[in-house]
Amino acid sequence: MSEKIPVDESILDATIDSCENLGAKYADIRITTQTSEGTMAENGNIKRVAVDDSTQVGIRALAGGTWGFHSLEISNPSDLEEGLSKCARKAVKAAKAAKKNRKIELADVEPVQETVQADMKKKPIPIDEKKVMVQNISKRMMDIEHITMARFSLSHEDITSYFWSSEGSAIIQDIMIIEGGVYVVASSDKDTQAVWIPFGARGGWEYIEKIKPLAFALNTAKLTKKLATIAVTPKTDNTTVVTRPTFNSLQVHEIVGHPVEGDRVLGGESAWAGRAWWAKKSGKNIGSKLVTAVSDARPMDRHAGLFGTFNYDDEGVPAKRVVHIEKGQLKGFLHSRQTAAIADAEPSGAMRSIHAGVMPIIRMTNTYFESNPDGPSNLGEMIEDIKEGVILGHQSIPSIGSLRYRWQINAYDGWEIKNGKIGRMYKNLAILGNTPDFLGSVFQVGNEKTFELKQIPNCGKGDPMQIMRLANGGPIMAGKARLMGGA
Amino acid sequence: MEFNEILPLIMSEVEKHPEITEAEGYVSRNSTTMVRIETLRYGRKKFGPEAQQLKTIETSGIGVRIVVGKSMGTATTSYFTVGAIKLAIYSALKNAKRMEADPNYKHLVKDVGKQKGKLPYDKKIYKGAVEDDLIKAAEAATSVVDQNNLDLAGKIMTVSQEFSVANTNGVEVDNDIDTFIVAQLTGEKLKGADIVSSGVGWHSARLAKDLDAEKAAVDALEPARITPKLKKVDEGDYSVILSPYAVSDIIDNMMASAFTLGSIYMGMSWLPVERKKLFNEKDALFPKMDEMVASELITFRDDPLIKDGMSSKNYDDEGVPTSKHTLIEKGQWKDVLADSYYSFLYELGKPGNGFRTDLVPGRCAGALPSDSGTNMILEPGDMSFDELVEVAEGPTLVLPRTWYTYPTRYGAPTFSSSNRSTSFLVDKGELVPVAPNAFKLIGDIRTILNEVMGIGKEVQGATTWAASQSTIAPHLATKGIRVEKSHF
Repeated sequence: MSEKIPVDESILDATIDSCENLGAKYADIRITTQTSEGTMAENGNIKRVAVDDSTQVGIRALAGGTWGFHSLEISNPSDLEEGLSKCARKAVKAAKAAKKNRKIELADVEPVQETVQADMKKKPIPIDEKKVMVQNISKRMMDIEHITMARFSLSHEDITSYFWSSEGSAIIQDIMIIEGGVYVVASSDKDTQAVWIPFGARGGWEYIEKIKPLAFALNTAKLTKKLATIAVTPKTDNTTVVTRPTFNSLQVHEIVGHPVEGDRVLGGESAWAGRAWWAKKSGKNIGSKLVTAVSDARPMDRHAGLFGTFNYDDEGVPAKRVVHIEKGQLKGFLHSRQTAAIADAEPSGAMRSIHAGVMPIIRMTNTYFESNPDGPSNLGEMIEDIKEGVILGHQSIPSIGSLRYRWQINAYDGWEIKNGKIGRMYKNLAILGNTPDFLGSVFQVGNEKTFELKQIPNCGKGDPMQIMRLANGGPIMAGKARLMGGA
Repeated sequence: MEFNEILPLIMSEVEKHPEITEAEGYVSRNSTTMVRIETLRYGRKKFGPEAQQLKTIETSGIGVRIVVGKSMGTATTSYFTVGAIKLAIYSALKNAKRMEADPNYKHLVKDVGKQKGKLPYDKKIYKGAVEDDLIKAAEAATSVVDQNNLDLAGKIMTVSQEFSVANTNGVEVDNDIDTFIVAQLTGEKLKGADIVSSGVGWHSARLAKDLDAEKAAVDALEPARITPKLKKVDEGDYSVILSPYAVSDIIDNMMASAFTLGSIYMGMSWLPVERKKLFNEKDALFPKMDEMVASELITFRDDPLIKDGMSSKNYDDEGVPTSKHTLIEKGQWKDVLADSYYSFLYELGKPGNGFRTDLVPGRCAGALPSDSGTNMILEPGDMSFDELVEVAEGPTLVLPRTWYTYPTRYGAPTFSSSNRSTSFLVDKGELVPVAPNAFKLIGDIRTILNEVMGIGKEVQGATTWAASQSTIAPHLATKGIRVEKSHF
């Protein structure tokens, strides 16, 4: 094969019937069939060209108090019906395996029958053009002094996803994912620094054209060169921190996006991703009145091309906007149909899996801080009254406690703020804090002109681990935290 | 097509393309079955601890690597059909032709021989007939919970993995099978949304009959029953006694990949390196072998052939018989982990750690081989826990489980972490319990390894979440941890 396999929808209807005949009170079928191709160049040489195709089927069933799930990879397109039949038998059997009196309840949703086309005006460029592009870009990065390694990758996945449920949903979604990344190492007699920054789109090539991959890569290489040559390590101190959208993407991800997941709030993730310190604080003030944070997966201009934008989640629930924090007050969490039924809430349309071979779990979507209409329009306005502080540039690696309360979030780059002006460039820095103190300390939030969302291609959760694509960010913000130098 | 028909077909198809100078065919099939135990609470509602999910994930696939001169193209497919295999070979060949010669490439593995002996595997796990056993194990584990405010959560999981690989250099491994079963459980005592106390229990075996899930539950719940006296500790530098699970966390996140040649090449290892010429006259980072990187008390190795090791494997995914690598011997850096590409590139180490891994446990045809560890072992010392408490100097923390122990940037020796479970402050020889998540930890792996004060004599296995290797480690008393203030 080098194309997605065709799916006879009547087989899906028959498999749902089969699940019910086997005793399932609820069942859903998911199929993902995809092709992908990608290439990567290192220092001007093509290092990898790869193609892949695969199809997964997975069936979830309820027949009592336990989810039964069975998935497999289709090893022959003509065996799809047989594969579905096996998954149906095994999933329903698994759902009956545990003898429990309690039944898992699901919050009601309206069944949906819809076919959704990919948000794509232009198809991804062919592999031979991708190859030329990545080779040229990595070579151009190497032309910059002090760069000792420059990798540039570009790939795309063309996916069709099927969702069929025993409640009558029948949803087909075509999805195009294009993604890549820059990994660059710069060395000088002073230091060696490595930076990785991803990019991508859930949509057509037109989104990648907007990113301008060559400029994106060269800017990353120049940033890395500066880190290795002129940047200095700041002193550890409690200070004012100004966070740019390129840093806020990880900040909001870790301290808002994860702890609003309903499975954490209810304790279901306690052995894996952890819990949420604010599980019992709905309606309480947990931040400054300038802080509003939401998850919004709806396809609209503001979210076009983002990894967290889609029409329906993997339970067939329409994409939604969920307000998590409104003017400092904790509001809603992200819920699956199961956690929504327990918490008397609405399903949030945020149950997603990386493919049909694994069960969906609650994931953030496009999760971000909202802009402030009355706030500064740019970085200069933001810092003009700040006597001392730091600007956090690009996020790198986080570390956070299992309640999502205490954290350290590292940055590749930063800048000193001195008397309202930008001073020296910083490297090896992080901010450390706790969530309510930090959110409570926010005293400036930029307006929509400073608002930006960034693609996050590597959010890990689940067991087996699923690396999910989503988007995070917000406007420029200012608050207080502990600046860690030498991180 | 049958599993065993695939590699002969790949090899015969490759022969039809005279421009192919080397080729490798790979086929795998795995099955992971997991019972997920959860305790859910909302308001006055409480469900569990109970089996929330019983799930099986079957994966399978074919990978081909085609070499033309010094260019390697790859393709993978999940379809076991003649057409799909022919197309995969055609695509990989086309991809190889798209590339210029890779100056770093030498050749696929050859003359690697066969593994002496074979590790045992569990036929019941291999057949996938484990659901009832897993449910029984889950019931045994949850039966240990005897208080309403105690939560138990985690998984009991079986994995079966089977693969065959062959290349045109004469390497051939047929139907190599591994199985394992693991119970990984977290026990927690709650007050509102706060975790009052927390513990972790872990047990694994290659054969299902050898698993003791109930013991894992007891181990997880024992610390959870403790009521901590402290909710915070003072900011400052501490000596630490890391439990095997905390050592495992540090090995997985700060040590395992640092010893791979791939990470060293990429500038992602904190180990001492220098710039040298490769055989092709290109400049690259080289490991400074034989340098002291740890205390003389530290010996650290990767051993893929432990009989009951969760990550034991007869062969790597390039068909090389696996072997033990002593990475640090009495503090001295002695070896690296490598797949064939980096081993031949550096003319260092030997291949045998080239694994195709993905997120679902087991071997994965859809991934390319890359260097990683198997059972990573910190050699035990000769001290009891009480003796470790005695030798620890100054303010000392006992850390049974750390979490999110991540480097602060790529290749950095510094890391940030949290106390995930109930910890202890040593006060005049007494252990004073401290609440989970009470503080953030800052550390430096070089100090952890160099300032060792003592090593425990008992070892415990562990895996951390989503790690590609497992660990076996003792308690470790050392320095290099700072507790940082996170409130103002």
